[in-house]
Amino acid sequence: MAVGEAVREVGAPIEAVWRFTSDMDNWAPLVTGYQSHERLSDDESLWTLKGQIGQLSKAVTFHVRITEWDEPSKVAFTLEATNDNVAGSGAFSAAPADGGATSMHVHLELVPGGFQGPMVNALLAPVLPKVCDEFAGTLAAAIEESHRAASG
Amino acid sequence: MPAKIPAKWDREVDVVVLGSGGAGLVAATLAHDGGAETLLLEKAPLIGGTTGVSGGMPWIPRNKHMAAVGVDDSREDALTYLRRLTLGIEPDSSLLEVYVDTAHEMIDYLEDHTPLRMFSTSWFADYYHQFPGGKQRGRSIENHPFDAKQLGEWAQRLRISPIYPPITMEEGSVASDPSQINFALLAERAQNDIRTMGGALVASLFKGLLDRGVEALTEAPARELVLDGDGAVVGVLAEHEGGDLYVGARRGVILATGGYEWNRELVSTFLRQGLTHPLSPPYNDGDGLVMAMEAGAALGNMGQAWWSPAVVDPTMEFEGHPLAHTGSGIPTLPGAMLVNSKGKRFVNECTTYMDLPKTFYTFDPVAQEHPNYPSWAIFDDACKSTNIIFTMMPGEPAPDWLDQAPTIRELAEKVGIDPDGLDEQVSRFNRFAAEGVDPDFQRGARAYGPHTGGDYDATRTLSPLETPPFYALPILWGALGTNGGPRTDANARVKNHRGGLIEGLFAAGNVAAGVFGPTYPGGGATLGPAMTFGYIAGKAAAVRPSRDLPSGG
Repeated sequence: MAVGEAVREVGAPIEAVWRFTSDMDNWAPLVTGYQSHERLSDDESLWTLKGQIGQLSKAVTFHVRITEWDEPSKVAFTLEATNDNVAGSGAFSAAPADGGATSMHVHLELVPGGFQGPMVNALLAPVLPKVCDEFAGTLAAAIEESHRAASG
Repeated sequence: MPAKIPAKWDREVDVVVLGSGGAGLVAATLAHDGGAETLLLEKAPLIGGTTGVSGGMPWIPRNKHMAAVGVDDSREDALTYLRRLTLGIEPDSSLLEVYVDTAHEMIDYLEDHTPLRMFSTSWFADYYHQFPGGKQRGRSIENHPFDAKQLGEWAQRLRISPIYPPITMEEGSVASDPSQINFALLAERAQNDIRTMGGALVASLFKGLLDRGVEALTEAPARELVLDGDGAVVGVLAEHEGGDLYVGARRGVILATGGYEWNRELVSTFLRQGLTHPLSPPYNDGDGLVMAMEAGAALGNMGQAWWSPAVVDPTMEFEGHPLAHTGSGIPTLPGAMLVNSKGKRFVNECTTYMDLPKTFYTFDPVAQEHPNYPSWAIFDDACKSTNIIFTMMPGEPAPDWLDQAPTIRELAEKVGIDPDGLDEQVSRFNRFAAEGVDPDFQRGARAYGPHTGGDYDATRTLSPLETPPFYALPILWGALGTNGGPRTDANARVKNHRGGLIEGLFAAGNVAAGVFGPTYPGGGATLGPAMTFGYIAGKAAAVRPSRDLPSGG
């Protein structure tokens, strides 16, 4: 299993963080390797991402199902590649921090399966933490920008 | 046009090597060891050239490792075999002798003086081992796994295959039964950056250069040769860090820039209409060939290439292009066949990857068409569920990009094959396959497949297509690289059109006229000559008299 985790302090109140993150259209293009997404229902969506390891990149489509929706502090989900042998889960959580800021936590786990699972995992393991960290940083900046704009 | 002599050279060295595949790395090693101050310029951001994505297996007659797999070899055997295959249309038959006399010496030298460590595979046969002088194993040798951590920060700047896991060819011999592959070992190697195949070959040779202190610049494409008033090559004009870089070469310039397979104009000029899907890195666009032509080089072997059928996974990209890989093994699997748009088989699918695409050239003068192109590998679910097929693992769902249908007819209609033709072809193939014979193309009649020398029965390749769904995968016109270019002599010096030499210019590898002409005698027929003539070029350049570099006005 490859695990990525990142924590960021966002310069915006938790309500603003939730307002931004609860609508996937706001942050979808910020996901590393984002190609497209399609909302299937309130709880389900299809995401196509292009992952890169070294000089090789591959587009993978994931079926994402929301398993927990706890406004304004947590969203948990599972994901399963539609045509590749990889599945996983993740969560986004937020908690009020000092000075009206918000502590944001991003967590993602991927489990490659099949014959090549162990090898793909070995390649993925060092990459996923960087991807999570990069996404968390980009997301935090976008939330702050959105909050500043909304605050006039 | 060749560049004008600069007023001032940015760098002055003895030997400049252009390109960092097998030919360039070996040439730089030998130039240095011959006492020449050597600079290597690589166009791409990564070191390794085409060698980096290859199986990393040079074909070396008379190599010392053959004894370990119980095979004797001789000069006579090797030359008899090569002459039978080249059909007398190789660019220079004397270079076959040079090759047979030097290739094993080259490997011995590198194993004695660099981290390169090779062994003979126990199963990789000459591709036409049934001919006199052919061997059932031993001439194709490969690297032991190499720990790339020894390269420090350079490790991430060396090219590796996008598709091969860190497995040796020897270990991969069990790939027809994927459950036998030790993926835990491969995971451990991936985690520890242990490289195999072409990645190991490049890493070990480049480590040798690092140990010697030979300087290598990446993202430094050579654009033009610099000639003096007598037509001798005295340097190159390259680009580096956004500006011109004039490098003067007191003893010589070695072209090792790879083929021209990514240059559509050169391909259409020299290779008729084929080669739509190169399997090499996208930097091989013929710049070395153009520089040689500008300097007046005589050309040879221009109508040939290292052909290979290609398959593409559109969900994957490598160095900015859709991932193409050799598809030669797919139609040879039990439960698979290769057909054209009429639904007809047209070749023994077990022929070599070099030979199979030649059947795409077949021209029907009545219909005015090439009946064998496009073509498709057709296979059933029993085949798919038990074999690794390109990027598809056994037992995993078929990807969206793979056409499938519940019946042969529906599959044919879906992809544009004549349904009656394919239906009839599959019925006929199945009838004979059930009996273990192929009276149409004799598939399975000799040792199975292009790579193996053992005695296998035909069931290793013949099995009816019976289990739905059925799949169709386009088999495309690919090549490992081109192998036409400047003609060279026994010292890898480039010849001119008048029977003389272009002083100061050497060539080795896919940029040069291939010494084997139209044939591919065994696994590593590309790398063997590339490394050998790189070896020869490096030695020869190093011993040229050093000259004062001219300067322009």
